[in-house]
Amino acid sequence: MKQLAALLLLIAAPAAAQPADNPVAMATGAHLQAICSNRDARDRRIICLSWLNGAAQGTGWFKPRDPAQTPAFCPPSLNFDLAAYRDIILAWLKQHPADLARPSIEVYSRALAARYPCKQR
Amino acid sequence: MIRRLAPLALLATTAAAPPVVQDAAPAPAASPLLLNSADDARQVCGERVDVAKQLACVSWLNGAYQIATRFQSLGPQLFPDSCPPAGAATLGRQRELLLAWLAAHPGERASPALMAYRKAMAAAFPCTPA
Repeated sequence: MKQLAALLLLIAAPAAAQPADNPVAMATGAHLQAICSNRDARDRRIICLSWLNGAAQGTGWFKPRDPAQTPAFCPPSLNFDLAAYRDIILAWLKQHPADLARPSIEVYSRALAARYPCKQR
Repeated sequence: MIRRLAPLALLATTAAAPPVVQDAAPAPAASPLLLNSADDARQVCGERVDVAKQLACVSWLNGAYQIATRFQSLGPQLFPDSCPPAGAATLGRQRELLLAWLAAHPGERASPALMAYRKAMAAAFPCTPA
């Protein structure tokens, strides 16, 4: 599997200090796009959906420390669909190419907040 | 955590068990790759040969960690925050901490995987009160 060497780098290096050219680090919007837009390679599907799974499992249990950078989102159901999240993020990146340079967690939050805004109480 | 199972179920590496004659069809077992439970995390993150499981573990940890760095828990009893020093929480280290915590807390295997992860990280890297 081609991603094995990249995986070893991912395990050893601090998550916040991944090489910019290692998309499996899922550190930027460009990484999200490179990994998640590839539907044919099984290893990339695993990386994309597992990353989304790790990020999404706590939905509803956490609040953003800086809502300007990582806005909250309020999906209609916690019965969430990882493939739908993937598609929402890829569509967001297509419409907002400047976000390719943003940290991936910001892209994740901004894309899902645009799709599932929280209603003001 | 509930989610549609289809996307990751496609990634399952093991075949379904042979059919058993009974009154009602059993619900299909969720793939451990979904990392729903702490025991799934133990199985998937404890894997040292299957690259698919290693990818799933490390990528799941990566997503959970990135949330932890930018979001604060609303239920710290269940999902405590952690404060690792810069550079201390490589994904490999997080995997070790999670597996060690699970080995020390076998009664938590039915808990959500994310809960086990957050508790493991908080035990290793507690946040000091401001």
